Parts: sequence; structure tokens; C-alpha cells
Amino acid sequence: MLTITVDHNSKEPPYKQIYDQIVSQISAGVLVMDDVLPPSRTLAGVLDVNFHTVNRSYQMLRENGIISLTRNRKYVVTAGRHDERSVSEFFSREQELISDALARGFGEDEIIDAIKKILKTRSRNKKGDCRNV
Amino acid sequence: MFSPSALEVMEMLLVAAIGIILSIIPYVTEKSIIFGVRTPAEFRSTAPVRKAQRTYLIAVLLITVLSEVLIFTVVYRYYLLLAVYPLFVVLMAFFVYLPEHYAIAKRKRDERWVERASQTVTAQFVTAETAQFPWVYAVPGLLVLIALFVIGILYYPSIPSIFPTHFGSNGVPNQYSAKSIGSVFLVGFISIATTALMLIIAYAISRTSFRVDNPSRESMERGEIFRYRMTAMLLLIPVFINTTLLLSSLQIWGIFKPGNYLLPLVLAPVFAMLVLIVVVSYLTGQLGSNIRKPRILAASGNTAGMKQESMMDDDLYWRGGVVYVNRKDPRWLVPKRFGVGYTLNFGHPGTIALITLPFVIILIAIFLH
Repeated sequence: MLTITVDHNSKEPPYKQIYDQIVSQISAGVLVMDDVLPPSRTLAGVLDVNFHTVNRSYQMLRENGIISLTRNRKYVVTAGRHDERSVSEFFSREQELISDALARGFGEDEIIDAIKKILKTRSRNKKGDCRNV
Repeated sequence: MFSPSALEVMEMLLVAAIGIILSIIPYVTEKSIIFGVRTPAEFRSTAPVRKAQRTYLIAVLLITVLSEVLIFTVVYRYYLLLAVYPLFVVLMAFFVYLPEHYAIAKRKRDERWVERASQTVTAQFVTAETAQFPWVYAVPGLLVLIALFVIGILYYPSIPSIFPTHFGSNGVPNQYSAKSIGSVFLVGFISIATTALMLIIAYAISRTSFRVDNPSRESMERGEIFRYRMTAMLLLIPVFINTTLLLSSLQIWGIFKPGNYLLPLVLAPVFAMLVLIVVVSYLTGQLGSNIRKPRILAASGNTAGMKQESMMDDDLYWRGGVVYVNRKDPRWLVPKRFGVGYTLNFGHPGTIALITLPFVIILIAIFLH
């Protein structure tokens, strides 16, 4: 069961909120590989947001290799098939964030600990809370 | 002396069930819906709201009691009146509802509730993997259906060429038909059609995504239980209808001669079905709002720390607070606003087709006759 909350008062734009929650539910194991996401029109209709907003979220998910569009026009979760890119290659995207942290004076161990902590809360929240965990 | 026929007793049972279901609606809707109006938390259980709910309950129960008296004394004489009377009860209850709806809607405008309403929408979406379809509930109904056809085929040779197809309440036949597959299995074919219809609707419901009352985990849990129970209940309904149809088939074929017990025997399954619908609706509530203790609450004690925001205002899609019209929504089924269960999206082109189809078929049938 995919659960999505859109808060129109939030500073985050709705497309980003939808994107984040789908990613978070995949990471929490609520959605697993090969799950079919609802059509973007259904998502837009039920959440009462613009159709293009949902399309933008889905587009972003596709670009990041989290979902893909099958031949019969269904959006399928593909995250988990990380064979195309190695972990270090993936994290090179976060170069900026890591340099930022180092520039602020955080130590290497502190950064690794912080990441470990995030990973721990993830596994604790498995099948748990569906909102921005 | 007045002796009620099957039809009249069925009518009285039906009206009683409809009356009870309609009267308790204010107590089984989503917590944020008051007479079809999305209401912020602080305005929900105020004295005027509770008084309006009580007034509605009492008025609809009075209408029901009055209707039973009317059916018993006058209406039973006219078949046309009997046919439309349940609809008339619904209409009368609607006219009790409507002033209450407009009163709340007016307060909402005057006191600018919308400005205080939250701006969040939370919804549950069915994904292919998570869609659970409790097939097992359909098994009893299908078994009865199979039994009807197996018995019918076995007894077909021994059914006389002219056989009774309609009986009075005392079990004495008052109408006969010539033997053919169509006449022998007419009731069986009705049984197939109703079973198929229920299975299709149950499947559609299990696949329908919907918004929940608020973004709490408890609300999600309630929504999931609601979806499951509605699907299971619809899958169970054929067993009751098919048992009634099986009994009437057995009687038509001369296998089963209940005599004076015909009426209670044939009506018992229908009565059981009505009780089931009332009980499940009350114990579940719309989107699970009446479930005493969802599993998640039992497991974690409480939902402390979870913000119980309400839903963003969506009154503009609900005409009169009951008719859903939203062209942008691709669903044709949506959870009801005032009641337990589902209603159609009248902004969906398929709904318009679905509603006009029976009339078109009737017109074609008349034309071809």
C-alpha cells in the first residue's frame, strides 16, 4: 500500500513531496522491486494535484533509475537493481554535500557515524511509518 | 383476513434495513465529515452538531416505523407502490439530511472554517503487489451456485413438460411454464448474473485508491481494514442470494415441498444478508472510522506524537454533500461521503454510460418486441 501526503502549506513543492515519499517507502520496504505504481492520472486525481505535478515526480524517479516505464505504459519499481552503477559512483553525486560537511569542520568519522545512524533508523522503520521518515 | 405474501414481508424487511442503515449514517461517516461537509476538528463534536445528528436519527427512524405501518395497511395492495417504496424511504431520509447539510455548510461559510482547515491531502494507493483479494469469501456463494446447476441437470429429465414457476405464500402454485432450458434454469441464470456482478464490484473495490481522513498511521490502518472488509462482504453476499435462489429453484422443480414454511425458508438468507450488512457497516464505519481498536493501536498502545491534522477541504467536488463530480479523477468508484461503502464518480464518462445502459437495453427490448 503506497501512502502519500501532500501538504500545500509546506515549503517543499508538491512534486518533491511525492518524489520523496515514494523513495522513502521503497527504502523502508513498503514498496519493493517490480511493484506497479498507480497511473499518474490516478495519483493526481486522488491527491487533487495537477497531473503535470505527478508527471514531474515520476519523470524524476525515472531519471534517477528508481522506477521505469514498461512497454504497456506501467510504472514499475526498479530500484534494487543497482548493478549498472557502483556504490562509489553513486555517492560521487554527493561530493558537494561531503565537501560541505568537511568544510564545516566535521571529521570523517563523524560523517560516517551520521550516515550509519541514518541507515539504522531506516531499518528500524521498515514497514513502518509511511510519511517522510 | 390479511395474510402477508413473500413480497410484502420482504418489503417490510427491506424497508426496516434501509431505515436503520440510513438513520445511523451520521455516526458511521468519516470523523471529519458532518452531514456531507468537511469539518475542522474543533467544530466536530459541538452541541449543535450532536443535536442535528440526534434529530436526523430520530426523524429517519420515525419515517421507517411509519413506512412499516403504511406497507402493512395500504401499500401492499398496490404492486407498483411496493416496487418504488424503498426508494421513497431513501428520498424522505434525504430530505431530512439536506437541511442539516445546508445548515452546516452555511456555518462553514459564515465562520470561515476553510481558513482554519489544513492544507494536506493523504491517500492510500493500491499497487499491484499489495492488492489483496480475499477469494476465499467467494467460495460459499460459488458452491451454492454450482449445487443449483448440478441438481438441476440431474433432475432435468424428471421435470414434467409443464411445471409450476410461481407460488403463492401458502406454497400453492399459481403460474405454470413449458419446460425448456430457459424456463428450468431461469433462476439459475439470475444467480450467475448477480454472482458475477458482486465479484466484479468486489474486485473494483479492492483496486480502488482513496483519500483517508487524516495523515496518521491509525487512519491508514483503518482505511486498509475498511477496504478488506468491504471486499470480503461483497464476496460473501452471493451466498445469501444464491441460497434463496437455490431454494426457489428446488421448489419449482418439485424436489422441495416446504408448504407453509416456504416464506420463512426463502427469506431467511436475505434476512441474514441484511443483518450482515448492517452489522459490518456499523462495526467498521466509513473508511474504518468506527473500528474500536485497529491492530496498530493494540500493538503500540497509542498514536502519541502523530499529528491528527484533518484533510484539505474538498467540498467543491460533492454536490449536496453526496454526489461526487470530479472530471479530473479517473476513478469511477469512490468512498461515499454520507454512508458506508462506495458511490460513483459522476464526472467519469464511464459512470454516465453505466447509468444510461439499462435504460438503453430496456428501450431496445421494447423496440424489438
